[in-house]
Amino acid sequence: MSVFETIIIRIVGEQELIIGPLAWTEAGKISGLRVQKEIGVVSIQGDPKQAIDRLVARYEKLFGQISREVCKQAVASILADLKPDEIPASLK
Amino acid sequence: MLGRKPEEIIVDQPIADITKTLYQQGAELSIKNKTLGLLGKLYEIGTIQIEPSKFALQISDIIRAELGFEVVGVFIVNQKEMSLNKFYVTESQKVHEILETGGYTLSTLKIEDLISKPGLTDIEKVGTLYSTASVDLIDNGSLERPELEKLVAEAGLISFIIQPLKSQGGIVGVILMALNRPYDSLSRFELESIASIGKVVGILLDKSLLHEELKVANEGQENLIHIMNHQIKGYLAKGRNIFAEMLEDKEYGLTEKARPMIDEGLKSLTEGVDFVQQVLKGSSAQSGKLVYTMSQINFRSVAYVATEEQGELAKTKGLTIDFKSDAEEYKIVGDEVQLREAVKNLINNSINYTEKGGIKVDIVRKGNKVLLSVKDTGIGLGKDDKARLFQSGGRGKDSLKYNINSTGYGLAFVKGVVEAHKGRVWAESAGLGKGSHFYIELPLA
Repeated sequence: MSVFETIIIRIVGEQELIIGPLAWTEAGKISGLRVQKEIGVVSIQGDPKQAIDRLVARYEKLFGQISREVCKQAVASILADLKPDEIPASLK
Repeated sequence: MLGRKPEEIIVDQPIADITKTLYQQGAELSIKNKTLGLLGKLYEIGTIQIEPSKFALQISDIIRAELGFEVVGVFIVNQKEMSLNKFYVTESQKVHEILETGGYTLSTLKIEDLISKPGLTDIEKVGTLYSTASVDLIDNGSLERPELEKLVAEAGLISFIIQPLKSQGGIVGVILMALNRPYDSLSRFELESIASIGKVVGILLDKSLLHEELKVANEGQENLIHIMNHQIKGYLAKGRNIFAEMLEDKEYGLTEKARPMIDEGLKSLTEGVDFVQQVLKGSSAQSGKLVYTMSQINFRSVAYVATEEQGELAKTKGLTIDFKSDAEEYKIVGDEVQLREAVKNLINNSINYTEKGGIKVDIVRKGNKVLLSVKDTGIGLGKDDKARLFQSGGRGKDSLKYNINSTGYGLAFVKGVVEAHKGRVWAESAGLGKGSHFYIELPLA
């Protein structure tokens, strides 16, 4: 599993703890991203960083700024190991 | 909806505000749930795992996995040396690989000179959480400073946290956590978890350490009793041999008046040697220290000889003793001497607690096992008796009323021997005054 897939899974999993299965439903609506609760990330088309940005933005649009913080905290330990240019803008 | 992209969202503002409020509350609940979930796991480990090192191992693993830290270790405060002694340290795969490449392990990690570490004096005084970005904390002189700093940098360790583990008696240890990001970046869940861990793990660790202390003390006591018994047996045996010699050898010129007294002395010392011998053997059998010489034997003849050897004692008490078995040879792999002793003990026990009637020894095949039963018409067993009957020093409630020489180790010996032969022993009784039924079940060869 790529680091970006891990980030997506971690974000959706964290959102699921707060909003339930809706987290997966909303993630499924992101263009270029195919997710399935039982499997995780099925595929990412295009730039994975942009897919993550779109995912974070979608949660933020629905649930406000705090949801972005939730996303960032969920993946803080993963981001710490990435180079600055590898980190999606929404999580900086 | 026509023409709208799947990601496009149109939100009604008042509803959006409600949603955001609900989300915020959900996020709060989620933090509490996650913290409680982690504490639940820690409690579960504390309940199941009583051995301190295994407890520390599992606790460290869980905390590291749940909080995504790079290194988590449990250390015990050694007040005498003013050091934190490593109990168990677990590291992430990444850190493990980096250490391995450099030929290092965390196995020898020991934080010495506790008082000189910045912040640790605070822990001693007030027991507060301490975090630092300096490798001072883990510098124990085992590595050159530049080498240590290089290693820490390669492993991506940015900050170190020490959470004191508190119990009623004060600080029992600390949890050392190393992470790949600054302490300030920790989420509320992580901070709340770390604070809770200090309280929960401290109490659980204290309990676990206390258990270990008791275990060591018990073992020490057991060894002491064992040594004492061996010494006593030596003195008694020496006295017995002297008296026996005096009685047998006419050269000692014992007067007829002295002879009965020496005779009585010999009898008493012989009983004393047997008593101590039984305690020693029972204790050895229970602790697994008894040595067995295994070979293929016929359990039927073992049981028969044991019954025969107890015949005289039964007769003296006016009891009948019957041995019943078919002609089949019950071949088992076992130690003939110890098994005969075990069966003898079982029968002897029945004789000691039977005032009238008799003892029936029965041996039958039960599938691929052989079942020996010893049935008596004795005082029977109460509910509490059954529970402690086969324990070292365990006796029935009124045991000493009927058998003043009871060591409480006879049946413990039986249990130890039978279990060493992968068998089982148990007792049944319809109640007090209704006789007892003892069973030994052993696997056939």
